Formats: sequence, structure tokens, C-alpha cells
Amino acid sequence: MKANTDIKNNQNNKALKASGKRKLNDLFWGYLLILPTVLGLAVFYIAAFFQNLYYSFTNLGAFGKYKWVGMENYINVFSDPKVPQALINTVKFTVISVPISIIISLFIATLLNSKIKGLSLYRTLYFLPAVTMPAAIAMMWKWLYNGQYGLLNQLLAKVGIEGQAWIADPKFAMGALIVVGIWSSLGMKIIYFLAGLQGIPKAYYEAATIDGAGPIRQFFSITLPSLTPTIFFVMITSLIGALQMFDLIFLMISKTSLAVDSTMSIVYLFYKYAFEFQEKGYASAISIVLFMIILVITAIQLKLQKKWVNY
Amino acid sequence: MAGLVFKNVYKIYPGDVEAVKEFNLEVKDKEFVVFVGPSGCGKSTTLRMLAGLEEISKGEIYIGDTLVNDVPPKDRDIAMVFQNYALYPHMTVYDNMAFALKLKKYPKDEINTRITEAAKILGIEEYLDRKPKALSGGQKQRVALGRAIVRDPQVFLMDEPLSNLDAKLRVQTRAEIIKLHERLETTFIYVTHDQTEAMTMGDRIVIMKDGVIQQVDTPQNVYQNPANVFVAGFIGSPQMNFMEGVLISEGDNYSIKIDDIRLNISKEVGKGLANKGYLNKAIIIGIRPEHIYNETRKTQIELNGFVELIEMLGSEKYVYIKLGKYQLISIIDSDINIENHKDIKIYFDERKLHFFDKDTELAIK
Repeated sequence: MKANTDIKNNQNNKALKASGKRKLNDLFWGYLLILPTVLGLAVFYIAAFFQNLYYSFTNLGAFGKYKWVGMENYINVFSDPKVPQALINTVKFTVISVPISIIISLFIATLLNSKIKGLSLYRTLYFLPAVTMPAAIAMMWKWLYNGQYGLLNQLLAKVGIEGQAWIADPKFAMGALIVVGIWSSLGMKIIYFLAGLQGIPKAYYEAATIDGAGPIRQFFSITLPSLTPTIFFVMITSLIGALQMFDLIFLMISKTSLAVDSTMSIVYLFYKYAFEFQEKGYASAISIVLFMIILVITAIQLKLQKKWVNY
Repeated sequence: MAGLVFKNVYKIYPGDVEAVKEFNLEVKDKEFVVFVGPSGCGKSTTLRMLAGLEEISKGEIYIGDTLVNDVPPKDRDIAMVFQNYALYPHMTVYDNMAFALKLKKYPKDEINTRITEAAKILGIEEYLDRKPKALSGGQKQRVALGRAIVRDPQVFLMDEPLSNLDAKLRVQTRAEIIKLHERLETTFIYVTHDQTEAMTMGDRIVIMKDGVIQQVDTPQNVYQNPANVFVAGFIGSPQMNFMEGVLISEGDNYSIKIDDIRLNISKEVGKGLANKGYLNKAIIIGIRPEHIYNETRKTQIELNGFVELIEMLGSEKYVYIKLGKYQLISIIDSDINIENHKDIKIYFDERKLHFFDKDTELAIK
């Protein structure tokens, strides 16, 4: 009897060892396959972040030598008059462009989700901005907005409205940027919303039809609540994206323009300090402040979502 | 409460695909009618045309005396229970049930009374504040029924409402729906692919195949007098055994020749078939598994078979018997001893045989 159990134990151990080996083998391949991504993330995001954090406590300038300055950079951030201005600009851009782009893209996605002729053509058209290079988008809009020969002013002239120097005039530059920001982000958002819309079971609408809900009621009672996870995702990602706005300003507003101050975003300010004024330590502090702002806003959103997102 | 009339109803999809053809049916007020058939037979499409979720390509549908072809679903005074329940996930059970009533602008008290009453009938009072995802499949099913009940519709439509439940719950809910029908005294139209559900629930069964009605009758009649080979095979489990044979006569003695097997039948039955022109013609013979007897119940037709397999089910067993080139299933009492892989004498009662025309597959009556 004892011999029997010994044999059994032995077999069990062997089996355990074998399965342990296989597990290890599986783990090895698993990690190997995600290695490229992990490396990329580690070097370009995680290491860079900590390096940046470290620099923010130094007086790093254009060249190698620097020393630890403690909180000095952060104290300067809060006394620098450029920072609140950039912060206001960034918030203005975010607060206006994010909700409007969500509403417009949701509306278009709803239309694209219905049965209309030439559907794939429309879908392609709306997605085009998402696959177009930001530089190309900026160039195109720069032309459209041009005060002297831009298409926009020509069209306005036809209906008797006097054109403006849209991106050169501090009064209009931010609005002009917001329009481009909204336009260029629609494609991606529409795709997310379309995917979300197509995930809503048809039976909900059929049940609602029999219950007596018309199209508008169905939109607000079924589509919108069912879409809240997608709306939440799009909102978080576009808020973060908008708070990090840089490329459009960089490409559309010339450095000598009068509108520079009224369109300067936080990231643009960071860029200016880091690469134009060569105050890398101070610039790092600005970027860390922005990071903290984004962190807090996202944390608040994650907390609030329990109240309105239906999973 | 209202009866229904389907007049020559067609559903034709683009590309001339006829999903439902020449559908004619009258449903009496308070009747429980089950549409049954294999998937793709058009039963759900017909129900959806009745609900107004699909357009009627041709023909007319009346609810009560009203032609509803162009009446929007909400004005047809129907309620529908869906296969996957279709409960609105972000609303509580209460709001799910109240949704239609709110849209119809019922006063709050009235809504409350109706929901409380329906919840009591279905035993879901304690779940009213929950959201659907916090409910089990059976509970969701009840809420879906509740949502239909509160509307007090003229007709209840149910599209495979039990198919997402496990076997035990399905049997239980089946009985509850039958009781519900008795209690509400409303017309029920119920779609299923499960012949057991159809047999147990319906006052009448509509059996469909390829968009065409095969037979409309009470469960008992459908079982005992199937109109054709399809119905005979579809209704009943295990299904009816079929063999092909030729009716021959030697003087006054009639028999059916199945390859080299002979079923001797009475003069009466033989003459009856002969008079309809089936002498020396191929016919299909059907016999239900419970009508294939053994030594314990000898009847006039005796045949020699061979036991190939025995499946024990508890109270009864399925015996697979080789007879010529056919394999027949016989249901026998599990107490009776049958030996596997041995010859066996089996007995048919000619009154239990079904005869079908080989070409049209229609029952020979």
C-alpha cells in the first residue's frame, strides 16, 4: 500500500515538474514576444519620464553640466506670468474643442450607422483626416485661413462678409485653431462611436419601437446610455490629447505672429523653454506640472464615471 | 384581446428570396398558437411581420378587425418577449417595465399599480430596484414577461423566449407561461424550434418549413395524423421511423414489400390503399418508436430484427433495431430485458402505421 502511494507521489511530482517546465517555457515566450513593446515603453516613456522628473529639479541648460536646484524651478513656474496665460489657453482649447468634437462626431457616427446609400464612401471621407499627417492638415488650413488669398475669406466675400486674418489676429487665432482641432479629431472619434453603436443589440431598438419610442426618444433612452462607456473613453483620451496640444500651434502660428501669446499652450511653452531658450530644467518642471494636472483631471473623471457610465 | 387573421402573407427579401410564402391563418381570441419549425423556416419572420418589425411584402394581417399592414408597431397593441430578453441594461427592472407606460403617458399611480401587480404574478417584487445585469437568466426572463404584461396588450408575441435558459429552468418556465396564458386570457403567439415546447404549450401548432405552412392543428392531431413526412418526422422524439416499400396483392391478401421483408396487412387497409391507386406503387411507411413492440406485446405483424444498440434512459430505453437496410428506434419500458447484439422479434400494429405518397410525401388518407 505504502509502495503504491510512493509511486503515485513520485508520478505526481514528475507531472508537477513537467507542468512547471511548460509554464516556464510559456512565460519565456510570452515575455519575449512583448519585449519590443516593453522596451520601447521603458526607454521612451517610463525612463524618459523619470529623467524628466529628475531634470525638473536641476538647472540643466543647453549643455551637459547642471546642478541640483531643489524646488526652485517649481517656484519659478508659479511666478512665471507666461504659465497662467498658457494654462488658460490650453484650458480654453480643451473645454471648447472636446465637447463640441464629441457631440459632432457622435452625431455623424449615428448618421453613418444608419442605412444610407454610399455609406462606405462617407465613412472613408470622414476618416480621412485621421490618417492625414498633422503637418499636411496644418498647411491646408493655413491656406484656407490666409487673410489675403485664403479660400475662406473669398467665400465670405461672396456673401458680403469681410474676411479676417484668422490665424494672425490674436482675437481669432484660438478659435481658428479650435476649428482645426475639432475637424482633425473627428475621424478617430467617429470610428470609436461607430464601433460602440454597432455593439448595441438591435433587439433594444425593436423592443423600444414596440414600446412606442420614436427615433429621438430611442437615441436618448437607448443609444446614449448604451454608449456611455465609449463616450467616457473618448472623453478621457481627447481631454488628455487636447491638454497636450502642440503640433497645430507649432505648424500654423508663425513664431513672429501677434497671435503667439494668445495661442501658446502649455506644451508649446515647454517646447519654447526647452529648445528655444535652452532652459531644459525649467521646461521639465512645466511638463511635470502639466502631468500632475492631467493626472488629477483623469482621476476625477474615473471617480465620476461611476455616476454616469453604464457597463 | 383579439383574434388574428393572416391573409396570403408573403415576406420577400431583395433578390426574390421568399422567406414566407402564402401564409394563411386564423387565430381565435385567447388562443395559444405556437409557430414551430427548423431554423430558417420563416416562423420568426412571420411573428416579426405581425409585430411590425418587418414589412409585409404581400398579403394582409389583421389584429382584431384592424388591418395592421401600415400601423406602426406601437399602435398595434401588442407586446413582445425577445429571445435575449432585450431588457434595457441601464434601467432598473421597474423602469424597464414602466418604459412603455411612461411613453403612453399613463399616470404615475396607474403605472405603479400595474407594475406591482405584474411583479406579484411573476414573483419579481424584490428585484424591482435591480438592474438587469444583477439578475439570473430566469429572472431576466420574468422581467421580460413582466414588461409585456404591464402593457395589457391584445396579443402577446414570444420569440423563442426559453432558448437561453438551461434545461431545468426551461421546463419550469414553460409551465409558468402556460399558467400565465390561462390567467391573462389573452391571445398568445409563440415561436420556437423545439417541438416539445410546441406540443406542450400550444392550443394549436403551426408547423412551418421553408416559409410554407405544413400543418395547422392541435398537438394531438399533429402527432397522430401528421399531414406529411416532414411533420411526421419533426414532431415526436425520437422521430418517427420511415421505410420505403411497395404495396402488393396476391388475391385478397395484401402486403407491403420492403426489399425482401414483407409486412402483411389486413384486407381492409390494403384495399383502402389500393383504391387510392397505390397498388404496386412505392409508398413511405412511418411508425413511431413507441409503436414498435416486442415479445411482451405481440400484434399481427411480426418481423425479425437485430438489436444493434441499447440506450438506457431510466424509465425507458431506446433500442436500435436493424430491419433490412433500415435502422429503427423502438422505445420500450426499461424493465423489459432486451439483449444487445442479438436477434429480436418485433411487432407492428397496422393501425399505428402511417402511409405517405412517395412523390408528394403527403399522408395518404
